[in-house]
Amino acid sequence: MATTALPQSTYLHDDTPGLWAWIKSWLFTVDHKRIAILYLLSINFFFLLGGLAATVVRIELVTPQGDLMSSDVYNRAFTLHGVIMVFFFLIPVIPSVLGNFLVPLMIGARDLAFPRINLLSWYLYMFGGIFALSAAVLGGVDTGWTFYTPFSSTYSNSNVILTIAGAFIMGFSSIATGLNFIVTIHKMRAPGMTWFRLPLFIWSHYATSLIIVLATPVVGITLLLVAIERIWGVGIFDPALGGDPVLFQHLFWFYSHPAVYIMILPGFGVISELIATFSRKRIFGYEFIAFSSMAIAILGFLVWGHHMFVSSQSVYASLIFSFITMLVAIPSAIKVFNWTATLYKGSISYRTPMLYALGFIGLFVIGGLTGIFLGVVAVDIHVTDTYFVVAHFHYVMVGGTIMAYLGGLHYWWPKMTGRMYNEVWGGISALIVFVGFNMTFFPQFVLGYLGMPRRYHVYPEEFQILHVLSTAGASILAIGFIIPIIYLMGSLIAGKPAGDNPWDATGLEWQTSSPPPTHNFHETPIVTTEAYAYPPEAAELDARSWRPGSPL
Amino acid sequence: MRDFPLFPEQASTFAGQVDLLYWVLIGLSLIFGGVLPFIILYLMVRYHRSNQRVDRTNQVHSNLPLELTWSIIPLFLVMGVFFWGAFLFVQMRTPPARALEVYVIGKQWMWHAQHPNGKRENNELHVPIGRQVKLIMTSQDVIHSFYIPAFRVKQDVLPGRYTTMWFEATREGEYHLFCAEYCGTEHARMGGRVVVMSAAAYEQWLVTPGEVILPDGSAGSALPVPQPGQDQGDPMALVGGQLFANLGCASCHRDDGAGAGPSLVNLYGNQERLVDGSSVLVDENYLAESILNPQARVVDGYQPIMPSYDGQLSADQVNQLIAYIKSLSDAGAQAATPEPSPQASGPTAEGTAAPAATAAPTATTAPTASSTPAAALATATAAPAASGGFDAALAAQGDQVFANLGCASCHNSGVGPALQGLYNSERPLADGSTITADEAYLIESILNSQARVAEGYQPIMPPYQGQISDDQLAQLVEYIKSLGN
Amino acid sequence: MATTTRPAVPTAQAHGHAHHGPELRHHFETARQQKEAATLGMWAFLVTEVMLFGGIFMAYILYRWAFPDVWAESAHHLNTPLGTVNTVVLLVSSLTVALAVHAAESGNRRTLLTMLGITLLLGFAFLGIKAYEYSEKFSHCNGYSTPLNWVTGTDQHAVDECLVPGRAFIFPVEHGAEGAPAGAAAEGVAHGEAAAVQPGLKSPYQLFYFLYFVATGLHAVHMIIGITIVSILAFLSWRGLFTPSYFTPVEIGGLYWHLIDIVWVFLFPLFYLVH
Repeated sequence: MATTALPQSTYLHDDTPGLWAWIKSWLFTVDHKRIAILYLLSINFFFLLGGLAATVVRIELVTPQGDLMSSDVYNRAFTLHGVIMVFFFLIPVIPSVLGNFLVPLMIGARDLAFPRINLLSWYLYMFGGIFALSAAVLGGVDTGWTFYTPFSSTYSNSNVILTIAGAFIMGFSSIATGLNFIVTIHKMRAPGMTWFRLPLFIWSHYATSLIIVLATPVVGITLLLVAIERIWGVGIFDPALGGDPVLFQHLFWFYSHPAVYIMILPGFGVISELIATFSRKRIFGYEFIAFSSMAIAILGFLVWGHHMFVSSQSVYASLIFSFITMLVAIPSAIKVFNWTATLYKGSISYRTPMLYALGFIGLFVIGGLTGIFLGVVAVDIHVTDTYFVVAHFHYVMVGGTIMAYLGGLHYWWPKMTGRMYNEVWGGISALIVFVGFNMTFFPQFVLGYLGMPRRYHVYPEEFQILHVLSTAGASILAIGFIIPIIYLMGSLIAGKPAGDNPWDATGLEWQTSSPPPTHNFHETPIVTTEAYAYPPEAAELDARSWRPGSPL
Repeated sequence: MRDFPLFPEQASTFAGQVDLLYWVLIGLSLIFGGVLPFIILYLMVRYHRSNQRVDRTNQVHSNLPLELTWSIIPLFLVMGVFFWGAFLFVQMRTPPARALEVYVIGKQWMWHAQHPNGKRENNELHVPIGRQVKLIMTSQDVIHSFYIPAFRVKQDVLPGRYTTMWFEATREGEYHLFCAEYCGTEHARMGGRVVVMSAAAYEQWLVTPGEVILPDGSAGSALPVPQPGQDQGDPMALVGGQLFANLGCASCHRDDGAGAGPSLVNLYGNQERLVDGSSVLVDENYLAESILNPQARVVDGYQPIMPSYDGQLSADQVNQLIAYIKSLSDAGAQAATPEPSPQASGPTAEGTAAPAATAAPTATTAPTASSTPAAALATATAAPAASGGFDAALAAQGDQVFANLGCASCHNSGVGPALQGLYNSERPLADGSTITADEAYLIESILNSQARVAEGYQPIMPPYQGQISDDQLAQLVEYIKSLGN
Repeated sequence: MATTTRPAVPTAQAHGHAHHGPELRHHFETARQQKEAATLGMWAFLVTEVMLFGGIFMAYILYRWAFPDVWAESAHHLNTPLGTVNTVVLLVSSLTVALAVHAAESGNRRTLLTMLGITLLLGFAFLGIKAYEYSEKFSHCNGYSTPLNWVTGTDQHAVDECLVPGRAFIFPVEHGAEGAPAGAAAEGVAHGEAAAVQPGLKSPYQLFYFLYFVATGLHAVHMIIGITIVSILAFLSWRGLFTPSYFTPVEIGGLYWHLIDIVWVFLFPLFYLVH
């Protein structure tokens, strides 16, 4: 039986017997890999929950009359979807699951710099999640995930405080993770692991952590001010208090726009890893990809005003924000071109992670290009707050972040669990996700340009066909998300032992056993080469050794 | 099956321009987003590991000229679309000077619009074709957003602030009107239609009477009741002028600038110096702020004595006052004056707004509570003066006069002395002496208010000699007496 | 893969603490690495703290730019002498913390304890003065004369002055009317002011005091955390935990204290000295 072939001493293995001891060994663990597993379980739970809310929303939108649910229920459903997906799934997913597991492994460290803070971050995440969930259970919240004042501070009759508290606490969880990554990447690299030998996954996580550390506190204090205003009726946002509601939007987007890069940058890192491995050659333009991550992190702080072109922000401010937004397109484009160039003269295999990576590029290109549409002020005036925006950020967030997350999960699954999953089903589900995704969200671009505003459950009848198409696509997408859950769970029982390096990849994480031992490496590695150090003939050799019957 | 459009109608001058830019963006996107996937597909197939015939030697891992090429070409392209979009945006955000001004109020969950002639409508917006229309918008509660997809225009509508937007419709028809900023429970139902009409039909529509729900929830006439002598000028401003008179604003804001407040003539559109030395452009926002929160930015040379009208005026009324104040200035009047239109021959076609400036201030002094019966005068003279009693009926009428003249704006706010308990009490005067506030003193203080000013107050009250009738004077006196002694 | 390896101790249990002190946690290679990591972590954390206050400063800048004279006038009603005293108190405490770190570095436990003790006293003094300033503001407010009343919310009616944002907020308008005679009607008006013109909750004055209370309140919360940290440090050094080779907690605790100090150095002129 396969089980016997797994290494005996792994981070999953416990010495002490007994159920309680086992539970304790997980809940009080300071091992970054176990914390990553805790995150994996809890974040996927929230993903399913957010998906459920999305399902409710999509079903309601099949008909234009709003007959399935009342306005209030619908408003609560899309708010729940937004809050959970943004704060409890997209922001933490790649850093907290893949990053937590891989950052120490990739740089040759035994753990993150502050293991206990790492555990604290998971508890904060759960704590924040409980707040958000209790808000939903106790009647929901209807402000939208953006909490615009004065609606959130004065007019809404829903559980705004609990939700804000959830997002606030979750912010500290993010900060704890970001802090840990920054210090770990600076101080814990193995001997010889210089900055320019770091895998691009690490670079992107470093850029992400900088954004987390700089931006999250701002949204924290902003949400705190909204809560004070709501509880005690004193504050600075409500015009009835002499305040300015647009100030809230500035402070909110100062965080929430960089937060978009918190979501997508780690995805870039994952894709860089996948493309290199499955082309069997070094990544093209390593420095450009690394620096483009940093450029995105910095520019990301200067473009928040492009969410506010119609908010009564001054014309000059809008023009400046629009200009800088245009500049962000460049580093994003650089990445895509470099990934494409990496394929050239490679030896490409269509393994499941690679399918997700290629899907990612396709979807991210569309998401990125429509971002330019939105950055051009004159066009944005028409399409902002419509389904065009909805489609755009789903292309980036779902098409980008989730595709990268699934690709990364499939790529490192053998490392995390020691077992292989069924690659036939892997390929099928990747294809279903890609098709379902496009069918769900492409019609929404058309809808948006037609003028369908977002957050509407009642809409003019001429939009119905496109909405039905979108809902049909969403059900395909849902199937695409459920299949991996089944076969990945199945692999835990029946999967073949993967071996230390099933993909023949470079990178320190593949040097240790699968699953890795508690302290990652039996021997501290000393790095002497750059990342993705495939020998020049690797692709040639790989292709030559291919025989019919080998994996595609 | 219903027909379903894939592209929105074009019904404004902006629509074509925005769409052109949009198509160019789609074209550029296809060059990148359309071609790149095929390159990737090609590479995927050609360099698949099963293809052993391709050359995989001499790999390159970086190429500076190539990196620069694919950085700089997109940079030029996005800069191109940026500048194109920027110029179009500036045009969309610069309202023309001579536009038809419509005031719009957003509230949960309806739109209320008021046209220059005072005609109101809810959840609809009727506009003439081929005319530049400027919307001056504010919200009563949360943030809304006024969105007309067929015109490609959208602007957030904020509480406590005015935002503007403009367009020129080019095709007759009905178009969707949406609220695009999430505003609560019935957000999805906050909308209606925009009706673009021929100029003649619009003129006709403007004078069609009807009933609408006003933003404060009460029902009202869609069209202000036509009043004699007011068929000239912009009725919206006229209503505002009447309100101005009723509130007693003119007692301080005198045209000659000699009052306790600044003159409002030629105020709108100009820079005003403030007490702190800075200056402010007098626009809708500043006017609204000065009405609702007068202390915020006080004009240089004046005291911060104006009481706040926050909570006393509806958003509608503030709009009317602003329209009136704008009509007093050349800049505002010009904006409100429509372009000559060949079909403009309706009975209350908007004429010139200038007469409103001279007509309104005199309204202050016109006896507004003019239903005094002759019998009241008799009782007034017969009323016992010294006993401290008063005539309730007269006092009630006096209360009305007091309100209509706007006395309360000073006497209930501390600018002038409070009148409770004043009658027959001993009061110190500014010159150090004291006086008993008997009937004679009250009458003197109303008719010749500067004569003996109470201590601690400024001689800012205008004299009402010749401005009110004897009846009204008697009623006022009774009213003051009724406030106790 | 072209990496070489060098033998490392296989598990934490096995590697024991033979060749380093007990304070070196097993995932670090050297004590120096651990110390650098802790210090860098603290610096990064301080950046997040600065950004936390940054949100308030942003709001402050915006509203001050919008209402410069309101800001100037409002600042008059804060107790500048007490604020100055507090500034001095905090600056001195920063000095004592620096001396404490120095004492820890040179292994002088007695001085370390003394300096931490003085720091604690100064911290409490700061909070005491702050509490007095707050109570002074609250005591003018009818209905919520204590912070507890303010939170629970009881019926109020207006008084002459209440600088705590809330339903009874009243800002007295008086331009140099110090010697004005008593009596509501006479006061102010004689000086060209109206006594009744007292901007309430809807005025920009409220914004100033709201920001004042939030900023200084948040700062006070940090002070309490700082005092807790210093107390723990004092306890640990009393137990003799720190040696010249291991005093990282004192160092990063000191960094935190300096941050609190620096934040106050910004808050003080921004609120007390803008007139």
